[in-house]
Amino acid sequence: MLAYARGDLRAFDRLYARSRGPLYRFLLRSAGNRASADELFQETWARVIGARQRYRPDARFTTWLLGIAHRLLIDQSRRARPQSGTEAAELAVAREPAPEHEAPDQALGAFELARRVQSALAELPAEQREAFLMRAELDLGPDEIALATGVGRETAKSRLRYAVARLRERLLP
Amino acid sequence: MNPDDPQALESTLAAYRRLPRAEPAAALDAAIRAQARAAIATPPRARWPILFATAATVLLGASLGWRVWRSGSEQPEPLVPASAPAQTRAKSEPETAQPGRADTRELDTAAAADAPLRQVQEMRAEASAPEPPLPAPAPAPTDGPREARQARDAAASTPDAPEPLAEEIVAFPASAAAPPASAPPAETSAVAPAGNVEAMESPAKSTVQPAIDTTAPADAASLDAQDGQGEHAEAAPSPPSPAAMGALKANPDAGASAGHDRVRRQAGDPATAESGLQAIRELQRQGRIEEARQALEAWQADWPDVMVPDDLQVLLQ
Repeated sequence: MLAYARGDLRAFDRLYARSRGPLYRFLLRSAGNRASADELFQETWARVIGARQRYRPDARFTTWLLGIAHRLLIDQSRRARPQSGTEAAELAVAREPAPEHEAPDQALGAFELARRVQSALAELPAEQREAFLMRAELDLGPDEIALATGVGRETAKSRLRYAVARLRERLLP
Repeated sequence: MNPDDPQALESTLAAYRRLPRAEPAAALDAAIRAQARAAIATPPRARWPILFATAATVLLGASLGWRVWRSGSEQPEPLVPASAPAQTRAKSEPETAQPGRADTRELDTAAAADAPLRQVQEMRAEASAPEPPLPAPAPAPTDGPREARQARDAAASTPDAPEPLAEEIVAFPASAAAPPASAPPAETSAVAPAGNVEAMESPAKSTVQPAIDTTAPADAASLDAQDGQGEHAEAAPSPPSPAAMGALKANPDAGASAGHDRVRRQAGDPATAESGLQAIRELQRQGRIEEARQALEAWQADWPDVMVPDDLQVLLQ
């Protein structure tokens, strides 16, 4: 990010290529639909580009990036209340293209698993869902989650623990 | 079930990772990369020009509005140029009777004779400053005294003759021009009418005339009396006034030296010849023969074309 702030466009390309997928999935599964995910994704990167001169390497770039996305998600959820329910989340998952290399039976099993995971994620509180997605997509620890979401370490750790417990109850009965 | 169990977390994450791995669209990637490229290509825009322009606009508008408001609140004034009052005042000044003002009318008044020396100095300063040309001086009296004209002509034609009276006095400092209070006023009173004639002919020269007048304030009455005889003074040498003679008698020493100087200084004045002779006679009468002789020699140098009276011929022998 510092290299890009000095004008190195290739540094940005490398940064973007490394972070684009996890960020997009984090936004997609947090917002529940592609349109919002696309909008939030573009807005997040626009803010990254605009704030390149103010970036300080106090934490990992991923933490800083998810912090921006977290605030945008909060703003978007405030504007879009009531939140999309389980049905909308299931619909979004159903629209996801199935991997072509998977066999039909495996694809059916994966689709069923994805539906159940998506449904379980949608039922989680937003804070717990965000904590879990940060851990699952970008491999953030409790400290980084706390930094990105602006809460204490114990709070972030607690959110992550409750999110895992609820998902296990839904996915692994 | 222990939520802090790492195996529970890993199994949950494994289940999650089996979800389809969604990716952003290629168009979205291109848009973001283009945005990042554009941000680098154009340097960040400085904000100070915008702020400066805004502040300047506000200031300009406020000042313009204030001027418009002020011009609207003021009463319309007549369209007179700014210099008009000054010109009007300048024109009216010669007509205004201001004490210390150097013009011919002022010189003819007895008030100018009573003006203090400070006012005389101020008048000198005014005279040295550039002033608009005064109205054309009154024409020289055609019926003026013949002796006065002769004296002026002699002073102008004689190469070694002293300069006219007024020009010499202009170069004379005020302190030097002001003799002691006991100076013989008779000479001043005797030459005052001729000085007025000079003042009439030359306004610039007339500005120094009060310096002579103020040196003998006691003689203002004689000035008045002579002025009363006519603005164009009679050339006939007038006898010293009683007050002037009294002052001369009171301090004959000062009167002698000052009289000698004045005889020389006021050469060219037609009345000075006779007044100088009077002063010399006074010295002779007082028994100061040597001084009288020196004064007479100086008088001869100043008046080479005037015969020495018979009663003073003895001083030359």
